[in-house]
This record gives sequence, C-alpha cells and structure tokens, in this order.
Amino acid sequence: MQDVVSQVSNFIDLNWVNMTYLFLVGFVGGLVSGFIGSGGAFVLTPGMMSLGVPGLVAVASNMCHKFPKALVGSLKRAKYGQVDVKLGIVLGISAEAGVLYGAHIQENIKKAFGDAGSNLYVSVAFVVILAVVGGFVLMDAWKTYKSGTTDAEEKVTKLAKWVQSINIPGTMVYFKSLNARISVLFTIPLGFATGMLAATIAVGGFIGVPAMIYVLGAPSLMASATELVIAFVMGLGGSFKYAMSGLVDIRLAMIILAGSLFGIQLGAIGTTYVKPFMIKMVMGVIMVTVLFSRALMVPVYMSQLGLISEIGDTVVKALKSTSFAIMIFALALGAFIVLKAMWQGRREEKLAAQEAVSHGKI
Amino acid sequence: MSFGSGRGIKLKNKTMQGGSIGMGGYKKKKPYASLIIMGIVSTALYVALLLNQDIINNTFGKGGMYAFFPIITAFVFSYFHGAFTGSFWTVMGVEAKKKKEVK
Repeated sequence: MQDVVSQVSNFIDLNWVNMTYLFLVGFVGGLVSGFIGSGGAFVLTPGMMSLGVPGLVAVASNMCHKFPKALVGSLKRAKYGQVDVKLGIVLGISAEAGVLYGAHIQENIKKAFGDAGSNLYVSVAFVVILAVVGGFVLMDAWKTYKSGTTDAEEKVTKLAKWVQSINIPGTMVYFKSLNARISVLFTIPLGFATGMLAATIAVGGFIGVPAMIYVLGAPSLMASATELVIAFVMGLGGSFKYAMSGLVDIRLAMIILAGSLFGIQLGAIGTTYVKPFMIKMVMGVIMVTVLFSRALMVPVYMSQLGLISEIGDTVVKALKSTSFAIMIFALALGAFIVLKAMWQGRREEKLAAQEAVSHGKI
Repeated sequence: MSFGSGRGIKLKNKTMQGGSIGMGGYKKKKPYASLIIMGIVSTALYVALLLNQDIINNTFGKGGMYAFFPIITAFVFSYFHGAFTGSFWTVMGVEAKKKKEVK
C-alpha cells in the first residue's frame, strides 16, 4: 500500500495548456459517450500519460471522471425514455465482477511478462475485439443505410429471439427495453465480458452496447443509454477501489469532467434527432478506426518481448505518434458524425415545422 | 435530485423539453436563473479545487477511508456542473427534439 501511495507524489503540475487540453478531450469524449454510451476513455488515458501522469493514476482519474459523467448522461437520457435502469444495474453488477477479474489478469500478465507483455495483451485484445465486433456493427449499420430502411423499426436478431425464448425457471427477469423476460444467466456473462473489456481497454461499451442490441434484442438507442448506467456502476466501484490506494488525481478527473459534462449533454440531445442506425454507425466507425491505432503498436511490443527482430527507436517513436494521432482522429471523427447528424436532424425538424405552419395558413 | 436541464418545463410525455417556441405557439422561459446560480457555484468549486490543490491531493491521496473524499467530490461537482451545462445548452437553444403526439 505504501508503494502505491508513494506514487501520489507523481501528481503532475497543472498549467493552463494541459488543463485546456484535458477540457477539450473531455468535451469530445463526453459528446461521443452521450451518444453511443461509451468512448473517449481510450484517448483520455494515453492523453493523460502523454502529460506525464503515471499509468495507474491516469486510469484511476479517468475512471473517477467517468462515473459522474455517466450519471449525468444517463439521467439526461432517462428523460427521453431511453434508459432501462434495471438492465443497466443487472449488467453493471456483473460488469463490476468482470472489471475485478480483468484487472487481476492484467496484474498476472504484467508480473509474468512485464510492461511490454501487458501492453501486447491490451493491444491484441483491442485489435481482435474491435475487428470482430466493430466490423459487425459497422457492416450492420452500412447495410441498413444502403437498404434505405433507416426509418424502419429495428429488427430483433435471430440470436436475441432465441435468447428471449429460453425459459429457465427462477432466473427470469422482465426488462422493459427488451419488452421480454430473459434469464439473468444470459446477462451475467455479457456484463462480465463488458467489465473485462473495460478493465483491459477502458471502454466496456464496445462489448456492452452490441451485446444488448444483438444478443438481448434491445433497440440501439436504449442500449447506448443503458450502457451509461453500466458505466456508472462500474466506474463508481472502480474509482473507489483506486481511491482506496490513493491513486485518483481529483484535479485531473474534475477538469476532464468539466469538459465532458458539456459534451455528454450535447451527445444525449443529439440522440433525439437521429435515426437509430446512426448509433451503430458512429460506434462501428470509431471501433474500426481505433483498431488500426492499436494494430500499429503490436509490432513494437512484440519486438520488446523478443518475439520479432528489434525495431529502431525512430520507428518506435513514429509508430507511437501515429497510433496516438489515429486514436484522436477516431474520436474526432465520431464527434463530427454526431454533430453532423444532429445538425441535419435539427434542420429537418425546422423545415417540417415551417411547412406545418405554412400549411396551416393555407 | 435533478441533473441536466435546469429549470426547463417538465412534461411527462417529453413533448417539449425546455425550449423556446413550442408547437402550440407559446414561448417558454429559458433557465437563466439556473444557468447563473449553477454557473457561479460550479466556478467556485473549480476555483476552490485549484487554489487548494496541494492540500486536496495530499488528503485524497492518502488512500484507505479517504477514498470517500474523491467520490463525494465527483458527485458534488457532477450535480452543480451537470445542472449548469444542461441549462447552458438550453439557453443556447440546443434542445431535444420535440416529439409530436399521436392523437
């Protein structure tokens, strides 16, 4: 414990430049989170580390801004009737267990293979999961867009229909977002996987939201809003755990929160203007873009572990910078799509209102 | 406890959340009072945090039961700053889509 507490002295000095940087990244991260239920964390943690914040303090401070942000976002989206609190809490509790287990695996990998091993594990998890899940989500959104059925009600997948049809006595719970009773034996592993991913790549929603949509049968808007409840439950528990070790830099967390609360309100408002497939589109685009960012780092860690021949320092630096730039690009691209979709939605609404008024006059 | 949209008019059916001119044609008040009050409180909290950062870091960084401090701080900031940011967008005219009721 003393070792951990001693890291507190690593709390960095803050100046206007790094505070503005954290505020802005917080804002963009919040905007995306308000819209798709998660995101931003994958940029914030490395972003803080680039300012000289130690890794664990960055993770802890990120988590401590995440849960109040998710709380504000989920309350906002609950006003629009998009949140299934019960599903969020049920998944959130099992996600908490997943976070603890995921962190335990991380620690073991770090002990056995060092920092490079741990980084390689994180990057490979990023690449594999984002390729499979992100690719699927993006393809689904693209198909909907191309088929011209963006206005049609979302169809429940065959898998979700099957999950909803299974009756295991004593484990059945009704969830309003699914309008069905399902067994918690299905929700537990999904929540657990969400938590494990959150502990590994900091964004559990990349599993949680697609799982709610494709496996449980929740509408996209409700899935992304409910993810905020999961993020709150997970973030609160995780923050407390890190705070017990004195690792939370509350200044960093609150400065990021300052920006992210502006963003999350805007992102949440944005969901009321867009068609549901846009949630999948934004999520898929971010996931697939981030995947390239982490894929670039795989050879670096493999070389550090001696699995491939050594890579020169200049190349390593170039790969690191490119990887970070792609991550920022992914977040900015997501934010751009959200703002554009929202702008279009608002314009269409205004035109419709004008048309209604002119019809009234005639 | 209400986070978010400040003192916007609350309608259960979510047809008009905050807003300037509704479909019915009446003009609603924007939450200027909430914006100003919450803005002042939120700014004061941030100023207090940054002016006392050394004491706060030393205390919050002790770990153990001191873990409650950062958690409570996060809740307090999210309440006031959340209400401020909610009112901010409403005053700026950025509001949720007004859904038409099907009769």
